[in-house]
This record gives sequence, structure tokens and C-alpha cells, in this order.
Amino acid sequence: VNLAEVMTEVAQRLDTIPGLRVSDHWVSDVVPPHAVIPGPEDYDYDATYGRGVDRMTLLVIVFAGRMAEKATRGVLGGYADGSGDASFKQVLETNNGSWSAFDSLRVTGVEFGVATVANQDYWAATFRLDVVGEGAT
Amino acid sequence: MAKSHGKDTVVLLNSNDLSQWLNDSSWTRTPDSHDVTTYGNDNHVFDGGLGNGTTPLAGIYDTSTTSGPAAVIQPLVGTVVPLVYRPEGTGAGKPERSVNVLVGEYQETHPVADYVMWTVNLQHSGDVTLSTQTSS
Repeated sequence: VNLAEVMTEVAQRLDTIPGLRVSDHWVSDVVPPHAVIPGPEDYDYDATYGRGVDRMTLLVIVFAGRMAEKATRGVLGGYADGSGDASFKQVLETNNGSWSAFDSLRVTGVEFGVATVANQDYWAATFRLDVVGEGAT
Repeated sequence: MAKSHGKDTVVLLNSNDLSQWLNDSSWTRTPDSHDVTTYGNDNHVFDGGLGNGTTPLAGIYDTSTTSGPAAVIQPLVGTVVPLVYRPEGTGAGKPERSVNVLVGEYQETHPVADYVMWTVNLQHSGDVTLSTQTSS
């Protein structure tokens, strides 16, 4: 598994969601709604013999919008919903079988919080992606 | 002397290298024993009997319909095929164990929150050949 390629491919898939900006790396500023892929929370080698499988928990942070705006609730809700055109879970998992940088992923959960960027409070969410792929590639 | 990491283990079943899908395996030899204790002994006395052994395998399911573990193993269930077990991996000078095995129970587990896993039990059949690999 090539980490940079995984981050890029996940970003490209999320970029199919209308209106969502996506960055496959940390950025110095965000313009909501903006999804950022900072990298994995953990990365486990050798899930099988012979470098067969590596596994990681990849994080995706989405800044949905200003806390004080009601519309933000609908935006973030759409991303966090279990299904729907903007659902991260649906958009990412329906691409299983078509990834090239890894074998498959599953969106295992999401945590919500307030993120302050440039003195502006945004409602944000961090999605956890369970990603597996070939260790030797 | 040196330690050997389990991740380097190589397993070939009927000439199919399953290593990249395996996350656990074991090699067990359990010979029969015969109690030949007679009067006058203060402790049991045993003779060795017929050899016996098993090699259960476990791993991660793969969707390949040609080379994945499900594709390879399921047609072999109930048949006797060669097993090659390399406990330190492949390489000249490393040990290799060869034995025919009866491919027994193949089981898949499908947990809702994790990947599909599988196990298979291999019953050793006949003599075991212990050798040293001559080339990698």
C-alpha cells in the first residue's frame, strides 16, 4: 500500500460529492464545506504472512460550516448520513472493488466537534476509514 | 541461533502459495503413545506409536476466483494433497517440511464489523519429510 496514493484516491472519490471541496493533505486554511485527509491514525503492517496485507485507519476531517448557521446542520448531516448522495459512507463504500491503491475500505464511524480555524468556529466531523490493501505494493 | 518472526512463514497447499492470505497457522505432531508399564515400576513407562499431525490454517478471505484461498481450498476439501511448510520462509538453507494432508473442514466467518475470515484443518497423512531448502 502506498499511503499517498490511498489518500489521493479517497480524496478523488469524495470529490464526486457536489459542492464539497476536498484536499488530500493538510491545508493552512479551509473554505467550508471542506474535507481534508490528514493521513492515517494508525497503520498496521503484516496482517498476513509474506507482506500480504497491511491495514490502516485513515481519517477524513470535514469542516461543514459555521456553527451559528442552521444550514450547517443539514450539510454535515448529509455527509454523516448512512446513505444518500452526500453520505461519505455510501460514496466511499460503493466504490469497493474499483480502488486501485488498495483493496477495500469501510467507514467505521464518525466523531463530531468544533474546529477553530482563523478565529472562526466550524462544526466539523472526523470519519474513520478501515482500509486494507496489499502490503507488498 | 536467532529468533524467527511468524510473518515470514510460507505455506504451499497443493503447490498454491497461500501465504499472502494467511495470518495464523501451526504445525503439530502428536505421536501415539503406548503405556507399557509393568509391575515393579514406580512410574509409567511408554513406547512411541504411530505418528500423527495437523496443520490448521487461518487467514483473510479474498475475492479472487482463481488464486484466493476460497478458490483454491474449497475444491480440495476431502482430498489428499501435498503440503509444504516453511517455518522460517523461503530461502537457501532454511528448513522445509513436506507431507501429504487430508483437507478437512473449511470454515468462513462473516462478522458484521470486520473482514471475512477463513480457517481450514489439514490432517497429516503419511510420512513427513524434513529437509533444507537448496535455493530460494
